[in-house]
Amino acid sequence: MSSALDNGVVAETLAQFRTHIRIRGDRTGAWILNIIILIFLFCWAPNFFNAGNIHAVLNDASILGIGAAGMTILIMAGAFDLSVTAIMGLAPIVALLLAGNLPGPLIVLISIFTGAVLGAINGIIITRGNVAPFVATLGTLFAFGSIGAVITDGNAVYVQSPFVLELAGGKVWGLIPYSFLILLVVCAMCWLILRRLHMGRWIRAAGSNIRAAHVSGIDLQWVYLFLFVASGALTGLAGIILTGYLSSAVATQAPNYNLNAIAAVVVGGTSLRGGEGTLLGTVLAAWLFAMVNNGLILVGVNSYWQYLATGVILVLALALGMVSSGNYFSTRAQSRD
Amino acid sequence: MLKKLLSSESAASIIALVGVVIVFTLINNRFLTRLNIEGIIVSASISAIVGLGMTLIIAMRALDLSVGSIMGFSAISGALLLSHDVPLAFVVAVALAVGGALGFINSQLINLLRLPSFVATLATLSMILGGELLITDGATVTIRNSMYSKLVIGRLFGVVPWAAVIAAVVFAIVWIVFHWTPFGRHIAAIGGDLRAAAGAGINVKAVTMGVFTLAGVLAALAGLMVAGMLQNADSTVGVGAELTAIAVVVVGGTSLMGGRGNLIGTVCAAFLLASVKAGLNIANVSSKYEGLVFGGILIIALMADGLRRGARRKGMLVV
Amino acid sequence: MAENTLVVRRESTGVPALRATGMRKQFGGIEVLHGVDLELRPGEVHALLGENGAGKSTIINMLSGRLSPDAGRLELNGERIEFKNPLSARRAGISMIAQELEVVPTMSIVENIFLGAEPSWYGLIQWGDARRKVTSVLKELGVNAEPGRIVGSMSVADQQLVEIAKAIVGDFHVLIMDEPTSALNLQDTERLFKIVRRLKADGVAILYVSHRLWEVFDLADRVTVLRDGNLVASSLIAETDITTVIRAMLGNKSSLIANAERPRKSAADTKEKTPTLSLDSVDSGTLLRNISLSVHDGEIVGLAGVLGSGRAELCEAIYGLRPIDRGTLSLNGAPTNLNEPKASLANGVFLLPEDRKSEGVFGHLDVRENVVLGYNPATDPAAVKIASTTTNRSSWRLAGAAPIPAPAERRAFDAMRAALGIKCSGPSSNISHLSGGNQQKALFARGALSHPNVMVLSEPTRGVDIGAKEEIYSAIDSFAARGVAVIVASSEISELLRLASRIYVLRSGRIAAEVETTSTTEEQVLKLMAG
Repeated sequence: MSSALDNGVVAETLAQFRTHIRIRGDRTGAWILNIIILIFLFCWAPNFFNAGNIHAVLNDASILGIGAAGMTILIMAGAFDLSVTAIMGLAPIVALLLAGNLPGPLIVLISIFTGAVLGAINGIIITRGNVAPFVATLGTLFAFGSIGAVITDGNAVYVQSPFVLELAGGKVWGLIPYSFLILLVVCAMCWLILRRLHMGRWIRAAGSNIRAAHVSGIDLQWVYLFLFVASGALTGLAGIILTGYLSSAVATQAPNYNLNAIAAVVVGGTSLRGGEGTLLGTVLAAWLFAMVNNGLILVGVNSYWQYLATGVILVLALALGMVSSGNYFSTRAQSRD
Repeated sequence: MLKKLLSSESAASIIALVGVVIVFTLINNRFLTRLNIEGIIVSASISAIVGLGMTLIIAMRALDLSVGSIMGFSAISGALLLSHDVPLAFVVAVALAVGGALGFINSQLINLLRLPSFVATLATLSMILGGELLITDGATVTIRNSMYSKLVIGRLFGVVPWAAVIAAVVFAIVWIVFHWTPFGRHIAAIGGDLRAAAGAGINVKAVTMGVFTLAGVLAALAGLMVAGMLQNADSTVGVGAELTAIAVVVVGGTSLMGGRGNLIGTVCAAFLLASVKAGLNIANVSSKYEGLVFGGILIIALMADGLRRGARRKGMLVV
Repeated sequence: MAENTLVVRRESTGVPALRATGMRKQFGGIEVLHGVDLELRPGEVHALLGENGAGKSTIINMLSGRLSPDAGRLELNGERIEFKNPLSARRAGISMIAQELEVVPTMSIVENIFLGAEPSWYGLIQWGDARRKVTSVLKELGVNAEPGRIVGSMSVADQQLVEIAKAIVGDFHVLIMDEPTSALNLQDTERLFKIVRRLKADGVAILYVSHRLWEVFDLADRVTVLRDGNLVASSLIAETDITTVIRAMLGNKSSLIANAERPRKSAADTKEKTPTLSLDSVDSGTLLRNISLSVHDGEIVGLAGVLGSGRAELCEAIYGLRPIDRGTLSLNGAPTNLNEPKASLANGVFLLPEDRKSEGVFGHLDVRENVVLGYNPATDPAAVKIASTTTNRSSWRLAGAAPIPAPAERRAFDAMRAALGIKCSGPSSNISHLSGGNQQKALFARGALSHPNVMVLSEPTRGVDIGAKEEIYSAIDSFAARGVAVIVASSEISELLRLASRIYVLRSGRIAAEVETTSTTEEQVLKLMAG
C-alpha cells in the first residue's frame, strides 16, 4: 500500500545522519579510484611508470602514509589529532638543532622522541585536563606551530647527515625509497597492535562505545595517552623523512598535513565514528593522493588543479564506498531490539 | 544580571578578555589608543562574523571546514569585479550569493551523498581553494576603489568603524534567527537530540540546507571585508580561518556536542583573539608568539569549562 | 477538538475517531505485526496490552505517523488517511506520549513542548504566548518549574511530565499514551489520571499502553491484548478480569502465573555472617541518601523502584561509576574504596549495565571479543595453561602490550557459550546480529569470566524474550548457588519475586522498605514503590 513511503521518517533521518555500523573499513572507493587513475595514466602519461617517477610518488605516499597510519588508529579510537601539521615541522627542527652533527640514526630517533613528547603533551591535556581531543589538538596546533616559528625565526635548518638524506633519496632496486619500507614496517606494527595485542582491542572498543569501554573497566586514560604518543612519534618520523627529502627543515614544511592525513584515512575507508578501520585502506589512499598529484603534473595540467582533485577524490571515494556497502540505499536503521 | 553573566558559559571568555586588556594596558599603555582599539574592533568584527555562522553550525553538531576557502573566494571575486568597475552594490550582492551557493553545495553533499559534514566541507575546502588559485593564477588582485575600503575601515558618523556596524547588524540578525525563529530553534534541537528533533517532525535536511547556506553567506561577507581592509585579495585570504573560527566558537563557550550556541561568547572570543594579537604587537612581542598564546588560552579556557561543568573525575571525554 | 481550558462534549456519533484495519509490518524480512485491527472511540479509554515484542510499539508508531504500515488502512473520523511523518499525524489531531523520552535536554521546557509546532507571527516565535500556555499545563501536571528551565537539569520524573505536557498542549482528538507513568510516583500518577478523565469527558479518544495492569483496570473502558503480533483478545473492561487478561497476554508461556505459584525463596539465615557487600548510610550525588543494605554469599537480593527512584544510580554507585560522598561500602566487612570500574572489577564486583546498547555492547566487535574482553587466563582457575601463549607478566598485561591469548580465549568463549546457551552463528559473528536476549547473555558471560564475588545486575532481562529470560534466571540461580552474592535491580516486580529472597524498595533516593519475598505480594511492593 504505502511502498512509496519510506520506512518511517524518523528511522530514515537517523539512518542518514548516523551511518550504519560497519565492521570492516570500506576500501572499495580507494581500490576503484586507484585502478581508474592507473589506467588513465597508462594511456595518457606513460612516463609515470619510470623508475625515478615511481620512486618520487612512493616517497610522497610514504611520508603522508606514516603519519596517516597513526591517525588511523587514533580515529579508530574515536579521537582526532589536529596538531600533526605542527609536529611535522617542530620535531625535525628540534632534532636537527640538538643533534645536527651527530650520526643520522640518532637524529631520526630524536625526531621520533620529540614527536612522542609532543604527543604526550596532547595526551596529558586530554586525559588530565578533561579537554576533548578535537579542541585540545586544535590548541596545540597553534601552540606547537608558534614554538616552531619562534625557534627557527623563519629560517630553515639544514641537514648535513647523509643518512637522513638517504631516507627519502635512497633507492632499493632502483625504485623503492627507504621511506616506503619504513611505511610497511609501521603498518605491520600498527596491525600487530590492533589485532594481536590487548591494547588494540581496547582501542577498537573505545572507538566503538566509549561509555561501555569505561564501564567494562578499560583504562581509557592510558589508551588515549598511548595513542597520542604513538601518533606524535609517527609524525616525528614522517617529519624527519620529509626534511631529508627537502634537505632542510622549516616549521611550516607540511602545510595542511592534518587535513591531508585525515583525508587519507577517510578515503581509505575508515569511519570517522571509530570502532573499525583499515590500515591497508589508508596506504592505498595515500598512494592515490600522491599518484594523482604527480599525474596531474605529468599530464601538464596546472598544479592548482591538485586542490580540486583532492576534493573530488574525497567525495568520489566516499560516495563509491557508500554505494557499494549498500549504506546509501539503506533506510533500514530500525532495529528490533 | 551580573551573576547570571558570570556563571554563564561565556564567563571564561569575558573574564579572559577583561584580563587580557588589563595586562596589555599595563605593559604598554599605547594599547588603549584609538588607533589600536579601532584596529582591534575591525579585526574582531570580521572574525566575529565568520564565528557567528560557525556557531550555528556547531550548535547543530556539525562542522564547516570550508569557511576559510569561501572567505578567500569571495574576497577574490569581489576584488576582481571591482577592478572591472562593476558597481559596488552589485559586487556585494554577487559575492554574497556565491558564498551562499557554495554553502548550499556543502549542504547537498551532506544531504544527498550522506557525507559527514567534516568530510564534505573538507572536500569543498580543497576544491574552492583550487578554484581560487585557478582564477588568480597565484597573483594578487589589487583594489583601487577607495570607497570600498572606507566602507570597512571608515567610520559611521566619524566615530564607529563601519566594520563594527556591519558586525552588529549581523549579530542582531543571527540572534533573532537563532532564538526567535522556528528555524533557529530547530538548529539547536537537531544538535541537542537528533532523534527527538526527527520525532517532532523537523525537516533535518531543510535545516541543514539553511544553516550551511547562511554560514556561506557570512563567510563571504567576512571575505569581502578582509579584501576591503587589505585593499587586495589573493588565495592566502582565509587560509586557516576555519580552524580559528572553531577555536573562537569553542572559547566563547559553545560546546562541540551541539544543542546550544553562545553567540555573545563567540563575539567576546573574537575580541579576545584580536586583542591578543594587537597586544602582543604593541608589547613588541613577535607575532610568532600569537599561536602559543591563543593555543594556550584555548586549552586553559576549556579546562576551566570542564571544571565548571563538573567533569567527572577520571571519567574523561564524554563518558 | 480538545484544548486545555475548553470543554466540548462530543456526541457519540458511532464513528470511531481512529480506526486501523489489517495493520501489517515487516522488519528485515520478518513480519512482526500480522493484520491487527484497532478502534479508538471518542470519550473512551482503550488500553493496549501485551508482552515485550508483542507489537504494541509497532502499531502505535504507525498510528502516530512514525512508521508506515506495509499493509492495512487507517481511517480518521471515517475517512481514509495516510501519514507521511509524525508532524502530519499531529496536525491531523493525533497526539502521542512516547515511551522513550523525546526531549532535547539542552533546551528549555517551553522550547521542547512547542518543538516543531512553535506559535509564530510572521516568522517570529511568540514566546510570551507559548510561555502562558505552558505555565497552565505545568500547573495541572504538578511540575514545579519555570517554563524557561532547561530540561536536562530536571529529574527523570519531571522530564516525563514535560513529555506528557508536550502531548496535551494544543488541539487534538486522539491521544496515544505509551507507558506514561514509568517514572511517576503515586501523586503524579493521580494527577495524570485526573487529566485523562477530563480529556475523556471532552470527547478525546485515548489509547493507553501500560504494563501496569491495575492502572489499566482503574482507568480504561476497553482493553485489547496483543501477543506475538496478533490480536488475541478485545473486550470491555467491565466484562473481563486481570487473570483472563494475563492469560491472553502470555498464552502458553504463563511464566507469570507459574511464578506466582512457585514457592518463594526464604531469606537465608544470615544474622551471624559477615555480608559480602554492604553499604552503610551511603549518600551519593543529588539523589541517593542514607542507603544501607547488605548481601551475603549465595544470596540474591532485589532492588525495586520506579524510573528515577535511584535504582540505577545505586547500582552505578556500588560499581564505582558514581561517587560515594558519605558513608562506607564494605567488602567482607572491610571498607573499600571502589571509585572506578577498574577497581570494582579488581575487587570482584561486576555490574551488568542497565542499557546494554549504550553501556555494554561493543557493536563493532564480534561476539567472542565482547565476551572475553578483560579475560585473563592467568587468573582463571578453570583455564588450562599452555605456557607459550599465556603471558603472566602482569605489568605487560596492564599496559596492553601482552599478546592476546587466542586459544585460551577461544576455550573460555566456547565454555561460556555452552553454559549460557548463547545462540550465534559463530564466535566471529558480529554482536549486533544477535537478538537482545543473546546479547544480554554475552554480557553476562563477560561478567562470569571476571570471576566476581558480587554481581550487580541492572534490568537483566530488559528487551529479552521469554525463553531467554528463563535461561538467564537459571544462570543467575546457578551463580548464587556457587556462592556469588547477587543484587538484582529491576522494574519488573515479578522478576524480583522470582529471583530474590529479600527486596529493598527504593523511593526518591532512599530505601523505603526492606521486605521478605515470602511474605509479600506484587501489589504491596508496587504500593511501596509508588509511595
